[in-house]
Amino acid sequence: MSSAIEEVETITILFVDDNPDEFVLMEWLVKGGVDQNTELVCVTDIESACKVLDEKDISMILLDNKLHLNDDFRTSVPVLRSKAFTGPIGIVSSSIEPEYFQEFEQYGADFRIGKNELDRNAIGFIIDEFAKKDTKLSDD
Amino acid sequence: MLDEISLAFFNSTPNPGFLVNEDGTISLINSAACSKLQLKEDDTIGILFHKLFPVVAAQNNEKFEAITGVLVEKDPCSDKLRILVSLPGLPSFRTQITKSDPQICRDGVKRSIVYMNDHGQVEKLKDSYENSLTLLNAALSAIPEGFAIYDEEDRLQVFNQGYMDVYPDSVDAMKIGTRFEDILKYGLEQGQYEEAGFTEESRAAWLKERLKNHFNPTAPLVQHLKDGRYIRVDERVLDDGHIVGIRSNITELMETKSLAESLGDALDNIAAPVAFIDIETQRILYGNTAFLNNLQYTPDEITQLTLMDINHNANPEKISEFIDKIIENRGVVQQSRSQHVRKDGTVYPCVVNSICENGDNPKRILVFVEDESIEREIREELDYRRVQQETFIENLPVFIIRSDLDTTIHFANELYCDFFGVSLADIIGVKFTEFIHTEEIIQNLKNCLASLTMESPVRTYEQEMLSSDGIFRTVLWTNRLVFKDGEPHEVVSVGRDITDSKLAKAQIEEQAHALTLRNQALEQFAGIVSHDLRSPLRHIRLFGEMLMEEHESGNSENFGDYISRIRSSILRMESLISSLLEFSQVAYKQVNRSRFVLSTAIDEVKENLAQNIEQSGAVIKLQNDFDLNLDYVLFVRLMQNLIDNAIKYQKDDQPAQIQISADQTEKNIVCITVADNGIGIASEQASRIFNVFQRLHVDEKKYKGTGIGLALAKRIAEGHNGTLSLDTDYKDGSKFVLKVPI
Repeated sequence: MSSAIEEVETITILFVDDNPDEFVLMEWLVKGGVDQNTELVCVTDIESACKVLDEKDISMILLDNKLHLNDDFRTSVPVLRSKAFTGPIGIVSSSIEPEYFQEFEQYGADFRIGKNELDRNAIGFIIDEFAKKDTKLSDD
Repeated sequence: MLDEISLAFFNSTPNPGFLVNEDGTISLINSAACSKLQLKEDDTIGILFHKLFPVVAAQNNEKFEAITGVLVEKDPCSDKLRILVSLPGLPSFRTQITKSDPQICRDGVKRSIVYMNDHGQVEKLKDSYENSLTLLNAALSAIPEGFAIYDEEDRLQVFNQGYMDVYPDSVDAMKIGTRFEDILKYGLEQGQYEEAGFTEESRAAWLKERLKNHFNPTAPLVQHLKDGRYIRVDERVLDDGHIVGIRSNITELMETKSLAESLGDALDNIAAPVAFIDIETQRILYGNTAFLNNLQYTPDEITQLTLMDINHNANPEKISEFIDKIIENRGVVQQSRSQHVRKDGTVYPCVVNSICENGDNPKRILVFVEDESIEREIREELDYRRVQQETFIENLPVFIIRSDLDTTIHFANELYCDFFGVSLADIIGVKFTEFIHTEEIIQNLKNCLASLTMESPVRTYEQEMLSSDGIFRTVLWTNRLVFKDGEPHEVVSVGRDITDSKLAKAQIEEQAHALTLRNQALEQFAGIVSHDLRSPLRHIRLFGEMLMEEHESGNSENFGDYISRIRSSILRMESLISSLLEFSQVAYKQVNRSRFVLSTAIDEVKENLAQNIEQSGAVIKLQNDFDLNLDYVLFVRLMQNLIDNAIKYQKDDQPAQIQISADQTEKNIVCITVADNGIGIASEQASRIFNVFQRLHVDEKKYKGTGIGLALAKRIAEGHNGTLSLDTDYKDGSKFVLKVPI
């Protein structure tokens, strides 16, 4: 048995964070950590994120846990899911120690990662693992 | 007629003698007959002997021989004839006569010599004996006891009907001349003596013992016969060897004795000392175990004592008087106090209850003794405990009241009286509801009392009470409904002044609250360190790495941007660290309350914020002053943060107008409001604004700060057990409401 992988041309990642410095850092990490074509769309709030979802085909969302006007991902993820986004949503946070992070799947998130853990390897792994969900597997 | 010798003998004999012819006529009399019977020979010769001396039962026409022969045959006990001598001038008497066989005299006539054995003495004795015997038999038959006499050879000589009645099974063997042993054996064969058993060995042993006792009686013995009767045998051996025995039926006595023994057993089991006293001798007849133990005597010893011996300093006259009184009132218990003397000489007080037996001739007194020493010990112990209990109650740091169901007090301890500043006499008879000053509490108390039941007789509640010194104290009352014979009887109320403990509890709660806040602060601090401080650090690290990459690739296009971002992160960190330090130093500082007026604190705030106020043109207006009891330093800080916040978030075109007012809206609570005309805060953000490092406005160029001011103000309010909140109904800007106890 053998398999063939048909690659998607561009992976579009929506990054939501209230600190614009994070955009610069994320671009740098993605650029250096991913081989295939990627597009990083950065917004500072959920309203903007929802607009992007209306306009673009997003492969994956990376969501800061504590956005300025929202408490945490438990309220922000459901908002994003309400826009019929079925792709992977990952929570990035300075700290993932609070207990409620154990229940991230219950609120519609697919994974969580601390910001201090984010480096190019981690970004590459996440994209391989989650953003390539639409890769097609075919039998010979 | 007679030869000379015979005639001489005939005349010399001392007994009267007669020579009688065959036809019974007297042919000669001797000298004794003449002298003792005063007969004259001439008047006697030729007279028929049996005419002169009538022979008992002789027929007139019978010949002398025939008469004597018949008589001899008729008297088997004697071969002697008896005649009645009744002569003129002499007392008549009976006497025996001895008659010789007829002999041929010298004149050829056959004659017999008749001698009188005496002249009445023997017959007199015999008559006397017979009379005595008759009298004895009559007397013996008259007594109910069995009477028997055995001779020296142990043969039955005399016995009466009573003897036969005692041993009915041996009657057939009771014949004059029968040996005692044979009579006993006969009775044994009939099974008359139950105590002898039913085997040969046992009966032989019994017989041996009985005979031994019979011949050597030392004490009366008691026989138990088969019909259940008890027979007492009293025997005595006379000097001549005769044995006299009396048998008495003592069955009733034995049964009575058995009853008495049973009574004795019962009395022995009675814990109270009991004794029987002989009325005549005042001797103690019996004492039960308790009586003996009290006096320390043995049963034998006690019966040797009289009332005089056991009563301390007894007066014999008084004792006799008392006994007379008991006898006079027989059947009625007479009580007296005494002091009994023990064998060892010690004395103990007692109450003696005496009663005389009924009957016309009472012999005994029954005595019940109550040892007062034990009762006294118990009484003294009870008194001691009562005093101890009263002392205990008086010294208990609680109020104790006993009252009727309508709350009328019939007991109150000293503490309760002291609390209201009244004496016990003033309180007794007063309803304790009168000591309560509000109708609401009285109603609550009544409801509480009404709810008490046998199933749930206890209720506890707190009550504010005004003491005599005018201070309200909190008392925790426990009311208990006491029942008597199944019916509610009284209410026992115990109250504990818990004012101090409540204050202590409040302090503890306050400290616990403060501790909770500190713990929360620590957690928050940890969260802040991990989130808010780690974030700029990470930025510095990553932007540094980017600089390195750019530098390695020889591209310096973004250097300025990256360095600028690193610098911003460092400044941010410095600001956060300073704020955290300030927060940790001020927010949970120990609250030291002092009295001051609100205007003083506001003046100091104005002084501290003088530069900001001047630059912004803000106007601060205190609408009214107020006396406060708060931590002055912390309160100034709180107000400073609120006023600074109002200045910071003022509208672009309007200098801040800040209104401060104070009012006591609730008991012991002051409400201070700080209202401004600034940009305001959306109501949905009302709770978030007090979190540490929460800033609603990210534009630090316009609204500078770390977001710690309101959080710090809130912590200070909580440190005073107060609250700080945003009035979301206020639409003209922001209005903060501070409520703290003063």
